[in-house]
Formats: sequence, structure tokens, C-alpha cells
Amino acid sequence: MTQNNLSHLPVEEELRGRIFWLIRLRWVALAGILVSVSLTEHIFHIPLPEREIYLVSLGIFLCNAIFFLYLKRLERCNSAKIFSRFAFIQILLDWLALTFLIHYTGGIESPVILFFFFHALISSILLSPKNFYLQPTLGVFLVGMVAILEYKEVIGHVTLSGFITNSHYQNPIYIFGILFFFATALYVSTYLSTSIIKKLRERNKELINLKRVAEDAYQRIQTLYSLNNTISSTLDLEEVLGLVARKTAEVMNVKGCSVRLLDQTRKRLELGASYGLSEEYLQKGPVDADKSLTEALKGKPVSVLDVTKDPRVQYPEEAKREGIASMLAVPLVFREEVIGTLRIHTAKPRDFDSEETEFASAIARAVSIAITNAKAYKKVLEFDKARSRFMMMVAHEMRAPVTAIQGILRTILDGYLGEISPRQKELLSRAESRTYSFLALINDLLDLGADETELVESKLSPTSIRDTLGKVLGLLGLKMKEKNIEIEVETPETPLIISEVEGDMEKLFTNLIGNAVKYTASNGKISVRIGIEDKSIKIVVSDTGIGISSEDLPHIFEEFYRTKNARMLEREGTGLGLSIVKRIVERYDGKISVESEPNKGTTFTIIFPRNKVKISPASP
Amino acid sequence: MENPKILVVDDDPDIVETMRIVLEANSYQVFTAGSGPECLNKIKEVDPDLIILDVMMDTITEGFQVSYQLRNPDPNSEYAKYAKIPILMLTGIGEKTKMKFSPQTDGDYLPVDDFVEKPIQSQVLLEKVRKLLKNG
Repeated sequence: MTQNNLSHLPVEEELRGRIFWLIRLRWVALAGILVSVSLTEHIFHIPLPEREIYLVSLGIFLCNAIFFLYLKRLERCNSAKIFSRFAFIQILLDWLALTFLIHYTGGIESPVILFFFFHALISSILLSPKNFYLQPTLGVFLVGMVAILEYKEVIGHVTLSGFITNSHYQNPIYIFGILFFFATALYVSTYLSTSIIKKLRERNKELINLKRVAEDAYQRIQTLYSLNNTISSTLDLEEVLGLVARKTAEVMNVKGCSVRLLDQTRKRLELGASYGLSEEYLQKGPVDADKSLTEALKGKPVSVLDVTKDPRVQYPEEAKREGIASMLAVPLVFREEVIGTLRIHTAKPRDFDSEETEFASAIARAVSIAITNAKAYKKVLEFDKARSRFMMMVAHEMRAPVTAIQGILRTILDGYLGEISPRQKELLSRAESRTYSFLALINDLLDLGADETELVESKLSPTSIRDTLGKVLGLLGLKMKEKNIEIEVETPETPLIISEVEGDMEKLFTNLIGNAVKYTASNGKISVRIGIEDKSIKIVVSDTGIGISSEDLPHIFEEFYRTKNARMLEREGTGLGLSIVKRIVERYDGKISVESEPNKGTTFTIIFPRNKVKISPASP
Repeated sequence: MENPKILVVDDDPDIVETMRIVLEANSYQVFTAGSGPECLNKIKEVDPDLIILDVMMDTITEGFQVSYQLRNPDPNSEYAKYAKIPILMLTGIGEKTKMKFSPQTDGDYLPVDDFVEKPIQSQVLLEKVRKLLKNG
């Protein structure tokens, strides 16, 4: 987690903001002074020592301008001390200016005396608590001094004629009364505002802390979410483990991370994946379940502050050489069973707190699910492969006896073992023809089983789609002639070359066009169109045959599925042809779709992505 | 001239038997072997005019190994004198397409002279046998 950089905000940033605010206020105050002076003189006709007041104003103006420029220069300063001293000086100068203003507007008789109250407020907001009572004391002292000096006539007194009728400044009781209430009011208001500000500051701190906690929590949730997304993006076990190790190291901000899974005996921890750790360290030797961070395998997180001194570390020397200081191991648990550990390695000593441990455990839970999913998927793939292999083996083993039976029947039928009666011959012929369909089934099964989802480059050879189509049409020609089926072929001028596993395109056309011939009545029509489109090669085979009902349509690519009308028309047929076609199409990242209307005909459309098919320029 | 001697090599006794019937009915002398090593022994014993060799016996390529051994022997090998015996190879349907060579591309280097696909049609077999014996 990123350490929150808000920590300086409440003090420095806030103080800076308030000083700016104070400087702005001072401009307003200055304008206020000028306006009040002219109002007093011209509307109320009360004479004021204008020159002196304007001089004080000029002083305030100059000071404020200097403050403003100085604060600009402090732009990058983060020291609370400097800001607080700066504020103190400003407020001190404010008191002084105010004292002068009071003196020039009637001393103890001046109404400006009330302005001390908001100065007291400002100082309690801006200054540190220890200055809280220094300020009102200073205020009382300054006002008192002016009053006493004027009373003793050490300095002159400005009489606000028209505002004050009697010379109160010469009345000691008046002076005492005003000073007493002034001092009391100033102290009380400072006390009140200080308490309120203190509470506000505490509340503010709490809020900032809460915000930090909330932000940390949000970040953790985000991290977990993105981790979860990343590791569930694949079902490949190795990839999942690799992602887990990398992502965990990144989000925990540590040197490295490893995933170790218990082997079948549950005595060793095998390395699943790692990130940030050297090959040498990883090859340090077998990691024993009963010697290495054993508690983690009992479901408890283990935090090791110093790998060299902790007896729970199996390879302390190697860990030290690798530059590992601390470790955290959390159990990977699935369905209450520990399947391994997630280990976090840091370069600097780190005492993992409960929050970090909990976070690592949360990661481990997500990781466990991803690992289990990937393992299950791997098993499914293995089963599927085993099934495929088994089918291939069975089909293969069946072929030899069927071939032998065919040979024997053929030899008898050809009369090598003497004359046979017509009835015997008829039944033996039937037996022989059944062996042919049996062999066709076996060959279809082998084609289906030989399916390799990944195309191996070395097994690919370039084949012209058009030539293959021509060959298949030639082989089916006789049958089409027998049924008087009209064939229409449309292919582009440019040769289309596909890198195929030898025989794939031939099987594809044989099955598709073979079906069309099989299920189209005499005098029907078949068309084969190959077209080059923007991003694909399109092959369309359509016929005017018996069609496929809408109930059958979703199932026709399933293995061994044969539609009712197909079975009625043609007893022979394995129901594997279209499955083979579909597998071939998908092997080249293509797509197959079908449209059909019973008794009207069927159209199959195959689309191969263009990157799979090379389009050579037309040969001259 | 004596009737031509044909050595039929296949691990399936029923296939061997049916071929023997067909070939003997056409006046060939038929000798048989059930494996690659047995075939090599029989050659020395019989000195056949033609070998009919199953492509797949105990191992997927056993037939090929035998044919390579006969066709490209060490000049000092005891099989050197059998290098010219024509070989007719038996293959299952579809097996031929999976092979790495064909009569078109490999020409002279092909270790066999012709192929016959299983299930064997006796007419086809006899025709190919006749042709190979005539050339040899």
C-alpha cells in the first residue's frame, strides 16, 4: 500500500491557506479603513488625523505586500514551524497597527477597540495553543498603555468631536471600567474560540484519519479486485501461478513472492511459481512441509521478522544470501484443506501488522480459488485427451480385424476356395458391405480423434483450396451423374493457398459435398461458392435436398447425430461427418453456420479468417 | 522358368493367409513372415523375387525400417545382394497420406516400389505384383 501523503496537509497546507486568507482579509480591512475615514469626515463631519491614519494604512499596505510576496516564496516550504512563526509576526504587527489606529481615533474612547475581538479570534485560529493567552494579554497591555499614556498626557489625545461629548479619557473609572470589561471579554472570547478550534482540529484529524483508512481499504479492495480479474483471466495453471506471484509482489510492494504447493505426499512444498527471486535461491533444495514455516500449513499466517534468526526458516543462509530480510507466509486453503502457501519476501526488515497479514490472507483466498479452478480445468483437459486417445486406440485396434475379415470374405467371394451358391454369395456380399461401413465408421472416428486443437507448424503443408475442391468433385462425379445432379461451382481467379494438416480440406469438402449429394434427390442442384471477402474467405455449399428440420438443426454437429429424414433416406452413415467438418473448421479459427428448410434444401457457410489463407496473385 | 517367389510379411496371420490363397491360386510360390526380423531371416533363406511388406507391424514404422535396411545396406552387409528385390508395401486406408514421402515427390529415394491399400482387392494386388515382377 502506498503510504498516505496527506500527513502534512492539516498543518502546513492548512496554515498556508489560512495565512493567505489573513492577507486577503487585510486588503479588505485596508479598504475598510479608507472608506470609514472618508465617511467619518465627509458624512458625519467628525475630524480625524487623516495624515497619521493614512500613514498607518500605508504601513499596513507595505507590510501586507511583503507578507504576500514572502508567502509566494514559501510555496514549496513544508515546515509548520516557519508558517507558524510567520503567522505570529503578522498578528503581532496587526496588534501594533490596531493600537495606532485606536490611538488616532480616540484612544480608550475609540469604537475601533472592538476590532480587537476578531483579532483575538484570528489568532486563536492561526496560532498554536501556547500563544492563545499571550495574544489577549498583549492586546490588553497595548490598549491599557494607550489609555494610560493619553491619560498622563504623555501622548496626545484625539478627540472625536461629535462622537464623544465628554473627555472620558481623563476619567480613571471610565478607563478602568472599559479596560476591565475589554480584558474580560477578550479573554473569554479567546477561551471560547480556542476550545471550539481545538475541538474542530481534533474532529478534522479524525476525519483525515478516517479518510486515510477508507482510502487504504478502497485501495485494497481495488487491488484484490484487479488481482482477481487478472488471475481469473486464464485457466492455464502455470499462467495463473505466475500471475499470482507477480501481482502479489507488486501490490504488497515487496522484493519477491512465491507460490508453493503441497505435493501428493503432503511432505514437500513444490514451487508453483515465483517472482523476484533468483534461480539459485529457488534451487536451494527441497522445501519440507515439517521444517519450513510449518504453522502456515496448519492454516495460520506466519510472519518472520529476521530470516537469519528465526528457527521456522528452513534455509536461513540461502535467504540471507538472496537478500531476504523478512518473510510472510499465508496458507492457501481450499475447502478447509491447506493446499500450499503464498510466501512474501521483503528486502528490508518488515514487521507485518495484522492489517497486512489479513490483506495477504485475502489475496491467498482469491488465489486458492483460481488455483483450484485451473487445476480442475487441467484435469478436464487431461480427461478429454485421455478420452480422445482411448477412442483412437479402440478405433485403431478395430481396424485390423475388420480388414482381415474383409480380406477373408473377399477371397471366398472371388471364388478362390471353390464355387459358392448364389445364396451364399449374396449373404457373404452383404457381410462384406457391412464391413465397409464399419471401416468407414472407424476411419471417421480416427479422423475425429486425430484432432489436434493446436496446429503444429511442422505438420502443415500448403494446399490449394481450389485444387482440393476439384479433386473431391472428381471423386463424387460418378454419384452425381447417376442422380443427374446439376453442380454449379464458383471460385475466385486467384489461387487460395491454406497451410493445412494434410487431408483436412479434402475431408471437409468430401463430407460437406458428399452429404449434399447423398441427401439431394435426382435432378437436384448443388452449388459450391468460394469468395474472398474483406477479412475472410467464405465457402458456401448449398443443395436442393431434403433439408433439416428446425428441431434437428441445433444438433447436427454433435457426434453420432443423424436426423430422422437422413436415416430414412440413407441407412448407411456414421453421424460423424459434420462433427469432423466442424472440428476442421475450428482448427483453422474458422466458423461454420447452417441454414435449412425441410424439402427445400440446406446451405452451409464456412468462414476462414484471411490470415489463415494465403491469397496468391493470379497466375498469368 | 520357375514360378516367382513372393515373400509376404504381415503380423496379421489372416491377412497373410488370404494373400497366400490369392497368390498361390495364381501360381506364385508364397513364403511368409510375421515380423521384421523374421522377414530378414527369410530373405536369406528364400531369396524372393518380390516382397510384400506391411507398413505397420509391432511398431508403426517397422515395415519402413525393414525396407530401408534392404535398400540402403552397408556395401559389406549380408543384405547387399537383396537391394534390388522389388518391394510392394501394404498400407491401411489413409495411412499413406500421413507418410512423409510419396512416389511423386521422392522418386528414386523411395524405399519401396509401390503401395497396396488394405482392404486388399485381389485384382489390384495381382496387377501390381505382375507389374513389379515384370520390371524386376
